[in-house]
Amino acid sequence: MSATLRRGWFAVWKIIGGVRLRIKVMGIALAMIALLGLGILGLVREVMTRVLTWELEQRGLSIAHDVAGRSTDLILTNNLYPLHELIRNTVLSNEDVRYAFLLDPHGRILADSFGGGFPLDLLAANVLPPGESHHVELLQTEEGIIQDIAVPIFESRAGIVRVGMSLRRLEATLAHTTRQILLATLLVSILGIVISTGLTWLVTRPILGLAEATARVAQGDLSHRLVPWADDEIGQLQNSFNAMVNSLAQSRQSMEIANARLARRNRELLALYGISRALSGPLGLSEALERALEHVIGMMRTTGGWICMLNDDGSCYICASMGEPSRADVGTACCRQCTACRQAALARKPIVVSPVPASCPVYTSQNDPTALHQGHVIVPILTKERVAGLLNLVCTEENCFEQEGMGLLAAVGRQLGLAFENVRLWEELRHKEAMRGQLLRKIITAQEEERRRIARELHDQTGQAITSLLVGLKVLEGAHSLEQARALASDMRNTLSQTLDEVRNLALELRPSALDDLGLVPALARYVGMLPARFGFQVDFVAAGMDDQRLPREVESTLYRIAQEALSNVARHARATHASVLLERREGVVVMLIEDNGVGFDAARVIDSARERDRLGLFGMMERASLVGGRLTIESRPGAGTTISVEVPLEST
Amino acid sequence: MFPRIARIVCGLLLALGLAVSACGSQARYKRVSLQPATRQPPATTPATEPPGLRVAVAAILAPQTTAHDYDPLIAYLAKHLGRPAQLVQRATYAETNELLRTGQVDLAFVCTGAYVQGHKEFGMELLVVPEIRGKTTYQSYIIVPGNSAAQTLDDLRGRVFAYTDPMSLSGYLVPLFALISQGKGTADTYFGRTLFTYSHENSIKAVSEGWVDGAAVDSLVYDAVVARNPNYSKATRIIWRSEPYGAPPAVVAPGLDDAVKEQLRLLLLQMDQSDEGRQVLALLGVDRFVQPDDSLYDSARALLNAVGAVR
Repeated sequence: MSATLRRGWFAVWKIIGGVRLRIKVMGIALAMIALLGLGILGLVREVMTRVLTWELEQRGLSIAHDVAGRSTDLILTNNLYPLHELIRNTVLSNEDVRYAFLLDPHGRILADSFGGGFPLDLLAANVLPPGESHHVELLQTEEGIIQDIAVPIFESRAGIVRVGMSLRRLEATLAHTTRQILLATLLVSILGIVISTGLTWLVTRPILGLAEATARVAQGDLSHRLVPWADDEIGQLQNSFNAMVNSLAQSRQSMEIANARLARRNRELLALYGISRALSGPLGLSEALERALEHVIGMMRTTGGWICMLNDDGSCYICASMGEPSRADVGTACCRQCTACRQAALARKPIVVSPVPASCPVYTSQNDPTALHQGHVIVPILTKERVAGLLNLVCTEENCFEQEGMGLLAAVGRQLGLAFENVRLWEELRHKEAMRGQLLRKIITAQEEERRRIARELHDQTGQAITSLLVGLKVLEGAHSLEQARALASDMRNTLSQTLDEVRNLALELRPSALDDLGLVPALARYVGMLPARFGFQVDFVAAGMDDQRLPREVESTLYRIAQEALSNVARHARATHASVLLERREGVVVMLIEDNGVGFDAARVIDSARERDRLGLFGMMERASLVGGRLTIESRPGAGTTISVEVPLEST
Repeated sequence: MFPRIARIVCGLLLALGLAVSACGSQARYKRVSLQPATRQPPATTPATEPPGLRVAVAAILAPQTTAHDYDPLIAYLAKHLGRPAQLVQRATYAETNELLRTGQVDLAFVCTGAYVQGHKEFGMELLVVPEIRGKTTYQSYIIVPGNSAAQTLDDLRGRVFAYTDPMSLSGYLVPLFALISQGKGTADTYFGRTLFTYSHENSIKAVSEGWVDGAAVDSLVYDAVVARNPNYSKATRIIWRSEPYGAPPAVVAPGLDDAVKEQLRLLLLQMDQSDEGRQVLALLGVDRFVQPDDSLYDSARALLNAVGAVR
């Protein structure tokens, strides 16, 4: 049974549930109004019928009693005409009275309101039981229902009054009331339809708005918000919806931010990976920087960029370039002219220029004059000591460089600097290795030269002298005379003395024993003292702070050889008339200055050409200095003499 | 959830249906046609019934009081005569007298004035006279409302005055004669307004309710009414009593069969000799009926003559 009901209800609900909410509400309103209208109609009809019937009966009774009272004397005194008048007037003056008639105690008609003929049915239709004050009978006649009231006259001694109350007017009233109520119900129904339509529109509007907003949210549009229409359940729903969308939007925003951050990090990582691969790969510096620039531009999503490198003397050159503006647009000028460039170089951190002033060469591009570069970031390429170059990126939008990316760019700058430094160091190392090989070869050659010279000297001079001495001795052996012997001995002594000097010089040149025996200062002093005689220019030697304490042996040897080489260069190239050697020991260092007033030379060029041409004189001196941890600098200009300074730290040795 | 809603809806519909159908379910009706059938209803009295005695009672009292008081007498007469008897009332004394004259009634209880006139005009015959408290006479009272300031007839001059019947001795002729004899002019000029109530009882009611300022009534009726309803003794006050006149008698039509006449006379005269008769008499306020002497009414005749002469 319950299952059947349930199935039936489901079937009904399938129909009801299928219609729109508007129709549902309208249906409910109509049903309620109809229910109310019909209920009221039923109730009113019932109550009215009861009340009106009762009232009609009371009125009928009243009329009947009145007629009975008024007719009593007339009947008792047989006054029939007034009786007839009474009946006639009663019917005439009471609309509801259909008929009235009087019966005498024998049931004969004394007076009646029918006029023409009397309907005999009526006589028996309502019989007054003996002793009762009245009796009411409802009669169904062709003229409708009639309430027939019988009232005794003078306790039935004078007869009975019968009054017929027609229910026609009552029914008309009822019908009228029914029509009124139905009309009112109809009007209220129409009003109900209008109001319920309006109300439903009012109520469903926010719900439809909700549905639409939900659909939009489902499609991913989180920008839509509902305006709460009232502080009711729907308003709360709308507020909740807005709160939900807000939190959805927030979470999506934060997700997007996180995603963007992740993507950027990914991009950055990829770029950094690419950069580091490019920089650590087998490419040359320029090519590596080009490749790295490509990755940086890809990472920062800019239109273009370039890398300019700064030389030690402040000049710069474009090392790598990509996209707009072209290398030609930027030139080298940008690195020098831009305040921002200088700021970046000084601050050793990325500087963003946005907007780019129209005067800046970066602002436009020759290839694409419509593209205006609004953003420009300058990233210093830092090595350990200095700013090696500037990485430049441009984009066509303002504010395209976020502060967040600056740290990364700074890191890239440092990485580029590191790579640059590595390449530079590597090249330097390679060069040094080459020089070292050359030096080694030269040392070996020089050693052979020296040996050959010594051999030659020993053979040509010392050997000759000793041969002449042997010849002399032979002559002496065969001397004829003492005089001759004496003369011979004297000659031989001279020759021997000469040879001894020569051998001494030879030994001195090979390795001054004074350096080992007496120390640097006496050794240099002796060497310098020999120079005017040998090379023909004046040399001063001053030693300061060089107390009795000896310097380390290799330092002494190095300084001695550098002085020897330098002065030998002065003798060979400078055409100087005067030179000076200053040796000074300061706090932890020993400094040697060798100056001349010779013709001088272009130091940088000569040093570079020396490197290039594998000239080893100057390089040898530098090498010697560096071997003991010292530094040798050459200052010279053409026509202004030359100053070579050597500074050797003492603690490290 | 939904079965409950369904149940509620079903219940509402059922209630509504009942309410609506209640309008239609009314009591059973008798089916009656209002089409006229015949002018005369069928006779309900049996045709074999012997001819009845018709007794008229003049409108001394109100018709209902009359019917109430005289019905036992009619029943008594019918019983002892062995034939039906019928009470006949008419609105005026004149009509009653006319019934007697034309023989439409056999026996009648009439007013003294009516008897005197009827006797004179068509030989209305005296049958018996009621003896009340030992007297066969009665008076005319002039009564005023209980709260009236009037003490004498003079006080009623210009006021509203009720007579009973133009043929009534006590209710019209006696006060009229009194006014005339005292030289106070006719009733028409003396009182402000006069009217006929056609019944002593009506006159007493009219005075007690303050409807009229004064009335002339039959002393017998007044005493009986006051005895029956003591309220009237407070509501009314007697300010004038006339001299006694012969009491209203029972009369017969001039043409009535002598045997019947004697039978009736005997029956009435002997009523006080049985309990049944006495009960009927008590209701009428009569001690007994006595054989009259026509001279009892001479004073009344004199009064009528006097008034008639004046008129």
